[in-house]
Formats: sequence, C-alpha cells, structure tokens
Amino acid sequence: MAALGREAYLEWQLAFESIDDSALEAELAARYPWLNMSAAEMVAGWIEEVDIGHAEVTITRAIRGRRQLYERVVEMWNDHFNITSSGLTMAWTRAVDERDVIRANAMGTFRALLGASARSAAMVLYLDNAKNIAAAPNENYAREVMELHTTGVGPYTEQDVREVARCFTGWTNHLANAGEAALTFKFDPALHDDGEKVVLGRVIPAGGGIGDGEAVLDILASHPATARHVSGRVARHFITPAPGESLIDRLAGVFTATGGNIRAMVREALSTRCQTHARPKFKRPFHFAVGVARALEATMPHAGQLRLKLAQAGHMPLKWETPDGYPDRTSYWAGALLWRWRFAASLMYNEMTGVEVDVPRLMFGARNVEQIADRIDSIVFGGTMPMLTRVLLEDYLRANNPSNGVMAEALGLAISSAEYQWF
Amino acid sequence: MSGQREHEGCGCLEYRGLSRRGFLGAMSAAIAGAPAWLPRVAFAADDRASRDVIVSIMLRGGADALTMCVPWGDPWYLPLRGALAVPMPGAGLNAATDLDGYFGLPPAMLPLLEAYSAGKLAIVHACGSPDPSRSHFDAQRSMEVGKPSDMTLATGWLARHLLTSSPMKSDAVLRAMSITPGLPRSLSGGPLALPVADPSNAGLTGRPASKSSRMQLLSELYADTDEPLRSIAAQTQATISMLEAINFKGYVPAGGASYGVDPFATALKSAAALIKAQVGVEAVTIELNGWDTHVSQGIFAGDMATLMQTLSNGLKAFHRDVIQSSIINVVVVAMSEFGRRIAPNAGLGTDHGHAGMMLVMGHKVNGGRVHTIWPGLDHPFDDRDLAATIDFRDVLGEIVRHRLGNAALGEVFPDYSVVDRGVVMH
Repeated sequence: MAALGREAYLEWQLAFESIDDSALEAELAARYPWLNMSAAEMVAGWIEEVDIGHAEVTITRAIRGRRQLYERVVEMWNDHFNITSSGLTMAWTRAVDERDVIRANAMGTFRALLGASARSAAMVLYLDNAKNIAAAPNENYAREVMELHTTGVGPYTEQDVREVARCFTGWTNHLANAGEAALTFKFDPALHDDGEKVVLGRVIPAGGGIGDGEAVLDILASHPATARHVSGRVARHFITPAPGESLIDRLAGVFTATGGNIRAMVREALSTRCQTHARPKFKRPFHFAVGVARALEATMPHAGQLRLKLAQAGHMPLKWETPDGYPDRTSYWAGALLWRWRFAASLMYNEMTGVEVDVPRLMFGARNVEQIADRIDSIVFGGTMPMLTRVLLEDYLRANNPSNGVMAEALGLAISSAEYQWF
Repeated sequence: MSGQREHEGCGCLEYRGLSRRGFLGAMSAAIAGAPAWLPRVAFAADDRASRDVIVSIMLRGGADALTMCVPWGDPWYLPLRGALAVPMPGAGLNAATDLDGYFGLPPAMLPLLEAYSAGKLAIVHACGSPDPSRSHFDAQRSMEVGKPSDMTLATGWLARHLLTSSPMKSDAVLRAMSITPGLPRSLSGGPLALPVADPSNAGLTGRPASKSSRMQLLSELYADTDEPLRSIAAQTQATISMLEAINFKGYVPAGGASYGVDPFATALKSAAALIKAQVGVEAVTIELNGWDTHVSQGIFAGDMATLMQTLSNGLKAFHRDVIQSSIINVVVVAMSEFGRRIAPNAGLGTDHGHAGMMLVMGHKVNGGRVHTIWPGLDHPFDDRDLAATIDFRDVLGEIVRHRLGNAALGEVFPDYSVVDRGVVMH
C-alpha cells in the first residue's frame, strides 16, 4: 500500500479480478478438491471433510490471499447471508453457496447477489424453504429475506410475511439422489400457490409461477429501506460499529444511484471522506488471529490449528448458528481478552502444533533493544506503535536479556496489547 | 489509534447531553461504576448475605413451550396441535406425565420431575413479552435488554441489577460471568462482568518463570487505554488468578449429581463449582441454543427431544448438586425469546409464535406448580399464537426484588410496573 498510495491501492484491490491469486487457489484445490466440485460430485464422493475444510479455506485465503479486500467483502456477505454449516448436506451446499453465490456476486449488484442467494440450495435448506409449499407455507425464509437480507424490520407487516411466503412456495431443491442435478435449486409448480398476492402494497397477479418470487426480490431490492439496511451492513463492516445517519445516507445514496453496485459502495466506504471520521473498530477474533498470522508471517501446513482456536473464541468461520451472522458489536467481543492473551502466548511458545513463527528471521539484524523495538513496531504496528507500548516493551527486553525466547515473548505481548486489538 | 473509541449505544451526542437514556445506554458509564443519577440503594448487611446467586439461562431460537409443558387439559390442544401433539397422560407411548391435572411434561422433560416434586422448580406458562415481534433478534434483544420495543437502550437487565445493587462480596473481582465466548446483551454494561468460555482453562501458558512479569506488563499495556478495554483488562487479570485458584477439573458434584459431557452440562457444572467457591460471582449466564424448529421438530426423538433432554438433565444435576445440597441460595431462571405457533406447519415443525414459558428453580422458589393465567388455545394472540398473560418482566422482576434483594425495579425494568406473580418466596 505504501508503494502505491492509498487511492491506487484501493482501485487495485477493488479490481480484484486482475489480481492473480491462482497459485494459492491451485494449492487449495489440491488440498481441498471439493472446492471445485458440484454438489452432485460431493454426494457421489461422499466427501465428509467439507465442513471443517471450508473453515480452513476461509482462514487460509484471509491469511495468504492477495485479494485482501475481496476476501473482506466475501466475509461481509457471509455474515449478511449467513448459513450455518452442519451436517453433510448443509456442508456440501454451503460450499457451493460460497463459491457460486457469495464469491461470484460479492462485488456485483445487490439484486444479483440476492437472487442467487434465493436460489441457493444451502439457503433453501437452511431457512426451510424446501418445506414451504402451497398447502402449508413455511415463513422462515420469507421473514429473514426481509428482516435480515433486505429491508430490515419496519416496512413490512406479519401479513406481508405470510404473502411473501406464499410467493416463494415451490422454491425447493432437487433431492440428493437426483443425479447431476442433486442438491441444486428447482422450482416445483405443483407446490406453488399461484393465487394473487399483495406484498408491501404491491399486487402480484395470479398465475405468476416462479415470477412471484422474482417480483418479491425486485420489490425488496429496490425498496429504500434496503438501501439503508445494506448500507448499515457495509458501514459497520468497513467503517465503524455504530454508523451515524449521515454515513448511512451517503452509502444509501450510492446504492440507489448505482442500482445497488456493491463495488461502488465499498469504494465509497473506503474513501478518505468516509474513513476520516471513522473511530477505531474492535477486531473480531477472526481478524485478530488472521492479522497475527500475517504480521508474524506464521507458517503452518494447514489452518487446522487456527480453526480450533477460533472455535474456542466462538468465531469459527461459517459456524454462527442463527441467520443474522456473527455480531459486530464491540460489547460482544471485547470481554474475551483472555482468549487473545492465551492465543498470543500459545503461538509464541510454539504450543500450536505445526504453526511456526521464525523469530530469529523476523528479528534478524536487530542488535539492541531499540532495534528490536523498532522491528516489533514495524512488524506488528506498521510503524504506529504508541510510545508507552514501546517504553514498556523496551523495559521488558532490557530486564530479561533479549534471547530469541524473550524476543518471542515481547512479540506475544505486543499482539496482546491494547493497541493491537483495534483496526 | 489513540482517539476516542466508539461504543455502541453510547451515541456521543446523547452522552454529552447527559440524557438519562444516553447514560443508560452508555457502556463506558456503566463500566466506570454506577452513574450519579442512579438512586443510592442502601442494603443491610444481613440482606446482602441472604441474597440468591442467579443463574440465567437463555434458550435461543424460540422454544416450543406447548411441547415443553403440555396443556393437555385444554380441549383445543389435541385438535389444534394435530401431528405434533404429545398424547394425554395415560395414552400409551410417549404420553405426557401429568403435573397438576391440566399440564404435563413430555418424556424428554421428565428429568425435571425430581426438582418439581421437591417443590424447587416452578414453571411459568403463557409467559412472554408485549412486543409482538416474531423476529428472533428483536425478541431476544427485548428480553435481554429488559425493555421491549426499545432499540436505544444498550445495557442488559442483569447488568442494571448489578449496577443498582451493592456487591454481595465487597472484594469480588468479578460479579458476573457468562460461560460463553461473548458477552450476552443481558450483561452488557454490567460492572465486573466478563465472558469466560471455559473457566477451567483460564491461565496464561508459556515460560513459568516469566509469567508474573508478563502479567504485570499486560496490565501496564492496558493502563492507558480507553474504556471499556482498560477495565476489561484489569478484570481479566484478576479473573485469571481467581479462576486458577478454583479446582474445576477436580470438582466433585454433591448429592449424587451426574453432569453430562455436553457443553450445557459442562457450563452448569462450572457454574456450580464457581458458586460453591464463594468468590463473589453473583450472576452466571449460560446458553442452550438451537430451538428454532421450523422443520421436523422431533418432539419424541430428534432435534427438540435432544435439546429438552440436554436442558432437563442439566437442570436435574444442578438441582441435586446445588439446590438440594448447598446452603448457598441460588435461583435459576430459563427463558426463550418467544414460543411457537399453536398449529404445526406442513414440515412437522412450527413457525415463530408469541408466548412461551419460563423455568424457575431454586432454594426459595414456589415450586411444584405451573404458574399461569391460561388464556386458552381457543383465544389465540394474532389468531394463531399462544397469548401472553404474564409479562416476562414480572418473573424476572420478582426474582430481582425478592431473591436478589434489589428494590430498584424502575431502573432494572424501566417504564414498567412489575406485577407480583408469587413465583418465588418473599
């Protein structure tokens, strides 16, 4: 970033398609061959390691991927369209969902992302739309597509929930034994309620078939409340945990003006004018662990150890149980400093099997306490280490005769420090 | 990075205006101690000694109260519940076990019978929130914040109870612990309140010789930072020492209690060890999640049966271990954000409903009864859901006033007058 300058770096990262990440993807595909499989192929191979593997892929991409901004956007949509992965069928369809729904549409238009999500076999299963049939509607997806994915609570009534459920009757999946189509979306006209519906005051005429659901998605995607609700998500993810009205207005304006262009919203959110007044954001455990691994250039044969650590922190990728996605609230995460301190200690004392930090290499050439502190500043804080932190670490190094072990302790303390917990 | 930090709900404009709501919402104010406007509640020393320790259990997902405590005496139960009805007592396989001639327990909840029969467990039925929301997240927020339909209040009801009461132990390093990875909203803004996912594994690892100097440096590394992190760091330091002194791994339950190995039972067991260690922790929160049974609910064998067994077996062990065998007064309360619809859906599940039930267990609970003002399934809320005739704040409020010895109910449950339902002893 320093080499490019802020604006150029942002544009480079926004144009993620032109950043070559093929070496990492090839390595991942070799270790996790299901990454490029259809659900039918996973069924046929009865691949059982997708669930934990998927979390490891997410961690590995975050640490080693060159498309850093893209991965952050993907993370945001994984929260927004959260699907808990548990059980083989969910794990298989969830893997397809992330690849073909979230990653494929992460920087596209919101309407395309929403539409792909509505036809995602994993979403159909997770929010029970496979059981949503004309004879007895199931409201789970109908409610959450409004409350969580689009407008947020407010614009719709309980009657709207019932009507939207009717519109999505018959949106289901091929069963696991359906050959090549296994566990993919299908519309079943026989299960669809083809009567007239009224959604948010708009009449959806009888006989619309699968068009009913699409009409609902059109209504929702273009609703002013959706522009604001999605803007709130973008603002909380990229700017501040408690965005003000003016910030939401600005992002919602971009949403409306660009027809829900996600890339344009992310560009605006990361612009100097939006970031200038942003207060620091508390790192979630995932950001803490991934940030540490990147900063200390930790090597590991795979991300299994980090996955276990994140599970202890209640932040293993793709494992939030409810459809609202992992919280962004500081108050939720800040209490668990203990986990961070323990993480730092076990990393620096080589207690995470296979995860290695080469302290002598990181510190090579640093000949005295001041130079070691400079190196820690550069590695951990990007040159912004607060003076008090520096003084305390220097005192610690002086008092302990800086061997490799003590330098490792100092690094561990640096990542345990207050300053490191904030973006 | 040294600028002012954002804390949700603080709303710095409000904060500057010193509005009451801003203060209630201000996490930083809460951490720093009781705000000046709060009434100074004087506690007699003996009052403090007789207060209960509270264990608050959140059952997230919307637990189906009509299965957990079956209103088999309601003539509409069997016809309206249809395929998901628990058979009447005596009606053969999977039949309900009668409690009082009107309500009964399904097979998976039978482990509760011991505490119920001992008079230590009360069920409060048709209980819920006046907020009609069927959103999990809004309804959980309403319940945990303790003020329905208020999206600005950021502190939790349990946090405000702690803020308006003196510590049970004056030198307590921690007054409340959530045995979860993150802090639930009910404790948000509470003084000396931390989440600890695994209390039995709380120490810093690494070179033993440097441990105390690393701990010392950590405390200095947080001495200059903004709230809430500064307080959290100090509390974490003290909590590490406190927890390391308790032998969780060697803990032997009393009264022949046997805890399972599932996370819920493990958390209850840790809570029991923590309470018996008498280190001043007076509130513990635990969660048992996954009650959102839209499809294939499985009330006899399946997802919901497993959850009910986990819940009732855990409470059974805790009853034997703590309620029956310890002289420390404890009150346990379990709640869920809402109940589920009266009629099942086509997938043998139930969609989001309205009223639910609460479980209250403890030394001084008016147990062995189902407390309710039964509305009748033929008088549904919104045409399809169990109506709420008892506000959840009545139950929590009664506990706060009579078992936790805190008369400041106006602060704990703002803008609400708690109605005494006789669920706990006075």
